[in-house]
Amino acid sequence: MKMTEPEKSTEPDIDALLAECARVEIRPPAALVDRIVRASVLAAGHRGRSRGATGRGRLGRLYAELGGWPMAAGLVGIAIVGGWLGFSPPGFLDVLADGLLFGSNGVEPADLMISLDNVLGAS
Amino acid sequence: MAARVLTERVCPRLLGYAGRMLNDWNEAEDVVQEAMLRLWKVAPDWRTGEAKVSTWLFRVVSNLCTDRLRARRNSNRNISLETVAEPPDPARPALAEIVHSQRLAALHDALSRLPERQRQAVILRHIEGLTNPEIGDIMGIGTEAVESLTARGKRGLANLLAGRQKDLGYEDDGT
Repeated sequence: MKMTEPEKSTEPDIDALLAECARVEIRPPAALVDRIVRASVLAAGHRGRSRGATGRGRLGRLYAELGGWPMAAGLVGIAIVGGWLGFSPPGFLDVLADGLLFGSNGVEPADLMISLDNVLGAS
Repeated sequence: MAARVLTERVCPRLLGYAGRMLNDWNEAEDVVQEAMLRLWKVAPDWRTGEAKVSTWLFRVVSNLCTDRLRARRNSNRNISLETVAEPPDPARPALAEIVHSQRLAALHDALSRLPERQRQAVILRHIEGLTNPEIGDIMGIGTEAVESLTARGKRGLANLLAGRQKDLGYEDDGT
């Protein structure tokens, strides 16, 4: 194919040349593709191994050392009960606390506070 | 296998790009392999929508080519026209087609003589068919800068090829 023009030209048609170059099909050698695919398999295997050694494996061992699922269930249960008592205590709890602290022994809340009488009296 | 499908889809363009940037198909293969290896490493952490895989790969290939071109400059290793037109490995018919084509060899030679950034912009725009924003993303510059580099690159190519009418298939009817 000749890239001729009607008149003699010293300017090559760069767009046509580049377009011709773009049409050339590049086929990577099969060996290169195989090497790249093999590398992907190796990379996936390496990721799996390193995750087992440093990530989940270490955490898993720590979890087991601390008691495993019974420990986790106990912690969660205690947290739920604590949250419930803190934010929405049942009605009998106040009565129970008052009875224990201020009921029959005659102790008043003011008795539990620090007395500053001596300090104030001294000045 | 997904890795093979992806490799077969992106490798031809990456290899073409690296080959034209470096003017050395063996080095281009190494660059493509390295870029794909980096892709496999980051693949588990890849966030959808962050960047197109192809754009990311072109950027990695660009960086690797820049590194190799810099190393080549430092070691004063010249890639001559003879190297470009060297008979290719018969195991690579498609590449052989490129190298054996006199016109394309002349173009590749001219490309290799362009400043690196201009060459990069011209190849990505006019041979790989990327858009200016994509090229800007790959090269880390704005769209206007891409346009400027491309225009200057094409002017440079025209100047470099002006005296090689026969190589390009132009009729020399005046002489």
